[in-house]
Amino acid sequence: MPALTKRERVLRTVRFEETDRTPLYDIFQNDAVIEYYGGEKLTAENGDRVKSAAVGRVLDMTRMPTGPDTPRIERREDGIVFRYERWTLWIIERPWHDTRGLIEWIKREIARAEAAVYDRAYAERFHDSLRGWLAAYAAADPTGRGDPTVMIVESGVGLTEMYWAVGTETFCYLMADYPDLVEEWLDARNRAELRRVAAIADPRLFPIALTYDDIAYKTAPLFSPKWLRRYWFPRLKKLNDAWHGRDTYCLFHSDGNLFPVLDDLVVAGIDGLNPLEVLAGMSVGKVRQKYPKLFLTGGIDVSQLLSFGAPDEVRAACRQAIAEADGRGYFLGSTTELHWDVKLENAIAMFETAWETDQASRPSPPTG
Amino acid sequence: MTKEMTSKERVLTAFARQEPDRVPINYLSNPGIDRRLKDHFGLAADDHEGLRQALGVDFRGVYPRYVGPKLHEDVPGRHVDNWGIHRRWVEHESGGYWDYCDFPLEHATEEAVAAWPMPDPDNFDYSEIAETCKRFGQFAVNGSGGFGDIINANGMLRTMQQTLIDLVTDDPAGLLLADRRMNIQIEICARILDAAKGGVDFIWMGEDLGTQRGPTISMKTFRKQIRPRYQKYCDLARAYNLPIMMHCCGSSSWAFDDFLEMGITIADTLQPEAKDMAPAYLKARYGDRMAFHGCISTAGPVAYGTVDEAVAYCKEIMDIMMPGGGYCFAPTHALQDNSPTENVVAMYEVAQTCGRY
Repeated sequence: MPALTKRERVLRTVRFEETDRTPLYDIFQNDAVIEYYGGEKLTAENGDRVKSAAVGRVLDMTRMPTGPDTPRIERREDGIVFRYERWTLWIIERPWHDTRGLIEWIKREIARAEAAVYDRAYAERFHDSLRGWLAAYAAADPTGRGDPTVMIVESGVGLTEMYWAVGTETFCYLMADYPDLVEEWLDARNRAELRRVAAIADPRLFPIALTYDDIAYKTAPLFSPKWLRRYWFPRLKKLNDAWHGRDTYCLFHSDGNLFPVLDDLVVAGIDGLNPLEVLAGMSVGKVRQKYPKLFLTGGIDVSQLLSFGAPDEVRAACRQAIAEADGRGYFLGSTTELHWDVKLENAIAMFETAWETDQASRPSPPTG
Repeated sequence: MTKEMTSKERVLTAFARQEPDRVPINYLSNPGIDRRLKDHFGLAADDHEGLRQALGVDFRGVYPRYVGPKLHEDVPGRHVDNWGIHRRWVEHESGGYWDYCDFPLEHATEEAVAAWPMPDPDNFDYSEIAETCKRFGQFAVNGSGGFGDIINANGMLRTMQQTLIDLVTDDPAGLLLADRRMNIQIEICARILDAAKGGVDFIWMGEDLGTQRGPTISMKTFRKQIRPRYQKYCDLARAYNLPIMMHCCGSSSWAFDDFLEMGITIADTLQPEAKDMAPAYLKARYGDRMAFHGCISTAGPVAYGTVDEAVAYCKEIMDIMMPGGGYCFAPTHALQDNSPTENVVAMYEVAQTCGRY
């Protein structure tokens, strides 16, 4: 088979069609990997450019395109204060001190979501930004064809940011004590996202949306299936329907063991699944066997294998995952992102396993 | 047959990894099952000593009475203790829990933590300690000044989420909270030991280090943040030549080698379902260096099985853990309200009848 473009490879994989090789989907948040393939020392100043060069050289599909953050403390528009480090951020202050204050804050957040405007100007800004990333990826294409890495666009149902903002323990009490308020908030966020979808969807620019919420941990869902079925799945379905209505595939992302609710996810219209957290039991083989029509992405454990394992072990895991997928409908990649603990030699071993069937598209290390 | 021992002799023999006359027995429970057991034995709701005697419990504890001022205001619908921890009653299918809530120090600064009212070791009455030890003289007496319990207890005031962030990011407010609480407990313990005049037999501390699947924190974080803070507590116990028992729910055997280096020679609670916590694994790997306390699952046959299944399960655990000594029969953490009364009664009967050496 002649070498495909990245977009062709991605779309043929999504459709379970034959490809020249297994595509790579990942997120780069690792200085060593970015510097190796980007060819320069990575700084906060050159981060977007060098990371784009590395992504463009290596990956068929990606998201979260920006480089490392400048360490800082910043108060967001909603009043929450964050500490930013190079590749992560966390909350250090919340703008309420008691339940009454929290409820008032949530009501303001609901109003903010209701008022969010996604008009033509927003869409143009969004599309211009996306075109900028795609151009940077195209410039780095190792084949010289100007073939850009496919960018997927994140589109949350709305729940993750809610429990993150409030804090896990407090959110549990909120769900028990104020279920109507939680639903009102989730609904406002969901409807805002549906408006955003209507504004930005453009399958020529990005053919796949990442619909998401982290709803599970290693052993089971974070929320009861009963709660999810009542409050969350109907809104995930609306979101998937909105993207499908605009000819965009839906790759669903949640960490953790999703098996107890995977039937519901399929009914809600997901086309693919990410990141297949193998240590939570979500191996490529198990998911493929039970849900043969879902295209799959990830499945190479980043918490232990890519961080602490050896290249031979990584190669073996990659070959096994590709074999379990029977070579179709599968993107090789880490279980979410290549974070800063991943060993460079392990990342290279993963990429080379994807490239081993296609020497033409294998990038040589940059010089200089 | 080994001669009949007192409870104290029995426990200290087991702690020394020798075979006593029978396996020592301990009892910890949630309020619902505790009340039902007292009903079963015809005891008053506050007859804690009567229940311990009915179950053949070999352990007792002493703690000084707080006589200082009230440190934190009451909050409607909450129970607020002297550390400022807020609890609310949350019911479940078979009872309820006083669950932590409000988390008043979640985003407190270092200054706010420094100013947070906490019990002063001076404001406890240690005058009854020696007499209580004397009254419990035949039993093994715990003289702990508190569990330590950095992760859990900080979590009660700052949320578990923030506490884990504190440990990873060296947040000075979170670390100060841990230090202040730990130092107060160590000081209270020192005064208990001084007041007890030799009447205390062991120190019981605790830190939940595991989930069911593995460590809650990395070894690196344990050695940087947890171990040094406990070492001061361990050093106090060792100065009094007292054995130290460490309560650790979840998968915690990953830290046992460090425990031994710290001077901790008894591991509690031993949840057999958790990773690397199977009784046979623990006995084979650490049985020549550590004694064990716990291991009777509160999420297994005692909670969900028939009486016969609960009895068979307890026998199986004793068969693994008792040989050579070094085992104290007790539930993992505490009996939960969903355990049928008859199963728990049978659990303690089988320990007394089949726990003989």
